[in-house]
Amino acid sequence: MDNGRTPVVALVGNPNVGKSTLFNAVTGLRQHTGNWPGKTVSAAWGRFRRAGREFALVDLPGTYALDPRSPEEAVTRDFLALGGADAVVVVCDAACLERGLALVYQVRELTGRVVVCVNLLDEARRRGVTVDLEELSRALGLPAVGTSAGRRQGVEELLDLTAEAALREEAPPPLPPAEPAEHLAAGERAAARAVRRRGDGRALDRRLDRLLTGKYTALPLLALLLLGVLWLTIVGANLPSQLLTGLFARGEEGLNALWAALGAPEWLRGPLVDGAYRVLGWVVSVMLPPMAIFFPLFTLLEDLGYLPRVAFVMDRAFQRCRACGKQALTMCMGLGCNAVGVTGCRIIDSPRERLLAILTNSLMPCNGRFPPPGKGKPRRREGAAIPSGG
Amino acid sequence: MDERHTLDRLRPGETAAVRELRHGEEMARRLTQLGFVPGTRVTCVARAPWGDPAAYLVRGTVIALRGTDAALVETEPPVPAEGGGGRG
Repeated sequence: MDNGRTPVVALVGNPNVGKSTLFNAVTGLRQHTGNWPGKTVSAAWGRFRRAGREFALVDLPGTYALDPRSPEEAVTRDFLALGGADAVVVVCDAACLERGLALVYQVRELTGRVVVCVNLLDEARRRGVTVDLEELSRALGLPAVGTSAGRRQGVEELLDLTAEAALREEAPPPLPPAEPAEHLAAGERAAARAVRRRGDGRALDRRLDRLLTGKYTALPLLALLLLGVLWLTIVGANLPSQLLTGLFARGEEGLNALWAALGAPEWLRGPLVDGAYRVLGWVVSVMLPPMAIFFPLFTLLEDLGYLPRVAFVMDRAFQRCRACGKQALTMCMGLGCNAVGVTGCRIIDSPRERLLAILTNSLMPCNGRFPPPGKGKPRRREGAAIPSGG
Repeated sequence: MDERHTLDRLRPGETAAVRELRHGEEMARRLTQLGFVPGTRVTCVARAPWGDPAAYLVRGTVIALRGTDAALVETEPPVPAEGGGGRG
C-alpha cells in the first residue's frame, strides 16, 4: 500500500454483536450504542494508533449480508467493494458464530484483508459456549481474535493483527462469488469446527422468556414495568426539579440586582431576564430531571433485552391498526421526548408503518407536556409560559 | 394426503425443515439472509399472547415472524419437540 496516506480499517458485523462498543473501546469515542433508539445508521469515524502509524476506523451499519439489491446493505458493500478499506474487521457474536461467519465469507469475496473478531466471548462462556480461536483461524484461513469489548479484553491483539493485515504487502485474493445459502453453509461448517457447547446455558433465559411473552403474564408484566418506569420518572424528578427551580429563581434575583446596579434600561432587562433567562430556567428545571431518569431506565430495559420482547408481544394489537409492534417502543420513547421517539422510528422496516409511527408520535405527551404539574413541581407563575417540549 | 405444511401452523416446540419460500423477492431475500434456507430446521419457540407473531429458532438465533409471512414459508412435515427444545 502507498505510504503517506492514513490506512482505513472498516468494522462490519451483524446487528447486536457489540460492534459499536468495540468501536468505542478502540477510539475512545462515546458514540451511543443502543440498538433501538440510536442504532448505527450512518457510518461513524474514529482513529487509533498502532505500529507507529495512525489508522482511521469506520463503523459501518450492522448487516447480515452484502446484497447489492438491498439499499441498506449497499452502503456497506459499496464501501468495501470500491476499496474504501485497507483492512476489514468482521465482528461476530461468539454465541451464534455461524451467522457472523456467513458474513465473513461474503466479505472475503470483496477483499482478502480480513480479520475475524469473535466478540462477546465472556457472555458466550456464561452460556456454555467456547470458541477454539486457533481452529477457527485454520478453518477460515484468516486471523481470528477473541474479544470482550465491553471489558476491553482482546482489543490490543485485535488491533495488532488488523494493522498487520492493512499494511501487509501481499493479501489473499478475493473468493469467487457464491449464493447466500452457500455462505450460510460455509459459515456453519467453520463454526462447527471451532465451537464447543456445554449443556443448556439458556434454560433460565427461556424460563424468563415464557413469563415475559406468556399468554397471561406478558401484558400485566408489561403494564407493570412501564408504570414502574413512569412512576420512578415522575416521582423521582420532583426533588431535582424543585432544587433546579429554586436555583434558577435565586439566579434571577441575582441577575435583576446586577441589572439594577448597572443601571440597565428596563426594555433590555425584560426580554433578557424575564424572557430568555426565565424560560431557559423553566425548560431545564422541568424537562432535564425526568429525561435524566427516564432514558437511563429505558436503556436498562434495552440492555436486559426486554424491548424486542415488547415489540413481539404488542405486534398483534398494532397490526390491527396497520402498524408495527416496534411502534410500542417509539411511543414509549415519545413519553420521554418526541424527538427521540421520532428518530427511533428508523427501527421499523416497512416504510408505511414507519411513516405512521413518525406521524403519530407527536400525539404522545412527552414529559414537558405531562398533565398539570403536581405537588413539588414548579407552578405556573404570572407571565411565565409553560414550556412544551420537543 | 397431499397436505401442504407451512411455518405458521407449527406449534411451539415443533420443528420442521424449510422447503420453499413463496414470498416476493425482497422478503425472500431477507429471510434467506436470516437463515431460512431450504433444508434448514426451524423450531417454533413461542407465540405472542394473541397468537401472532410467533418466534422461531433458526440457526442459533430466535427470529419473530408474523403469521402472514410465516404462512408463505413451506415446510416439510413437522416433527414434535425434541427433549431439550432444539440446539441453543
